Amino acid sequence: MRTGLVFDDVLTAAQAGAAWAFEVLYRDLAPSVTGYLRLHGAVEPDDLASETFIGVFTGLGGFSGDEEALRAWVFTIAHRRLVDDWRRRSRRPQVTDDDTDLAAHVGGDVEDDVLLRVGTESVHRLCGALPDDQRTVLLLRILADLTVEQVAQVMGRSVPSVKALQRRGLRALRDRIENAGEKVGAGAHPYEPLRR
Amino acid sequence: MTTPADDLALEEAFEASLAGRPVPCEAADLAAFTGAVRSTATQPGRPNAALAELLATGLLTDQTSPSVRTAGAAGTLPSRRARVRRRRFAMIFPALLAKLLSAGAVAQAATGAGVVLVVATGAGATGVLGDEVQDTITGVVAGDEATDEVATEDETIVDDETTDPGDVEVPVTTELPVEAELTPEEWVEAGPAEGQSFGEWVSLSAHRDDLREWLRSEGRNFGSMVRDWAQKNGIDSDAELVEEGVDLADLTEEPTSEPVAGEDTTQVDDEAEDTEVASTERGNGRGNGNGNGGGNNGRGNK
Repeated sequence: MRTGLVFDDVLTAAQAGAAWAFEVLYRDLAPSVTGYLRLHGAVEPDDLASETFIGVFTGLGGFSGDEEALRAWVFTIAHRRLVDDWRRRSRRPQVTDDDTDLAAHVGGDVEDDVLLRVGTESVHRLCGALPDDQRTVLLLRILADLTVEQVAQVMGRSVPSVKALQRRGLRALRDRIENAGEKVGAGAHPYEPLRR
Repeated sequence: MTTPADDLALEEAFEASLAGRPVPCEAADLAAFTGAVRSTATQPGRPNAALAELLATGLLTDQTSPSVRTAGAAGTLPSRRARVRRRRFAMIFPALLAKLLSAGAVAQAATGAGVVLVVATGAGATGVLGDEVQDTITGVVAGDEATDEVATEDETIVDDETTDPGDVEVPVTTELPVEAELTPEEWVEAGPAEGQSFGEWVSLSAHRDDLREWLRSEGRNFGSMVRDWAQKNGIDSDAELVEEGVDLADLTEEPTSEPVAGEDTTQVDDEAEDTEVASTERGNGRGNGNGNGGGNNGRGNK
């Protein structure tokens, strides 16, 4: 684990309901889970992440597996919560530029803050431009560190299907980045806001 | 025009960027995108109320953390217990001293050696003695109490919060390890140990809560136990008992129980274990006080 604790000890304690183990797991997994939900355009990413972890902690007693398996399981729950949220809201996910967490953490060097802000906005726009399934595959690979097989499991799809989605997503991404580069001019930051 | 070879190169570059390996120049933008995505996911977000409660309390009431980070919280209970034991020690030690002063010369020598050993053990456990003395005491204690788990536990507890040199006497000297190994029944059956006076044995017996509980469960009280034992061993009258340093009236009234229980209950009323102990002591005091009130008054007026 990134915390340096032995995963088996943490898992055993968490399965017994120990608060300290919950906290260790939360600190380890919550940033990527929340980022995943946010980049999917969830309206309330923090709430969805909270619901995800409540589901994880209350259902942890029935889990068995290693750290990778736990990560895949957590993202499976997060993805289902996200899909449920989409259905509840009956509309396509909307990319949100209201990144309050980011705003809360910028500070210090103005130029760095601007670059960070611009970079984050660009990532949101690039992700938002991808179809849901392609975005899901790429984000699960990048943020959750899942393999293609694990992504297939999370999404309930076949491995070839996921590979195809990944290929199309990467291609679309490259095209958008290249187009953006042409429009903003050579030497510009590659993730400046795209002009549509 | 994108060819399958381009796609393959793109996928390989993507895998390389995920693994942190160098990527070709053509895929530098893709690698930068991967890094930018990851950099947006460094904060856990704000947990809602339900999750915050879960993170704070878990799903248990009793949690023991093996981590150093949470050791302080986990150590709260032992620290309180140590404080309670220190208070008990502070009250019991003068009583022991009084007994010692009223005992005969042989008894004084024997008991005095025991007290020195116990106090030195306490000082040694806290590590305030010089190296030579520390080593000597460690050796002696190790020889005498090698299997004493109670003493080991107390040392650990004391070490947790010993920051004040005034706490040197912290180890619980009233929990004499040798006696603690015997059940109440065995204790009564065995009587005084070799070299131990009858008065000393009675004095030590008086501080065994488990003995009193056992006696209660047998429908007896402490005084009757002492009297029975004395009669079995040829000490027939109260005068002879007094000569042995035993005052039956004193033993049955438990004069210090009431205030001790009151103080402990006030200080640790949120601590189940100690509260239980305190209430037991209070119960003893009330029960015995009712039964022996007349006799005590007579003693008090002497």
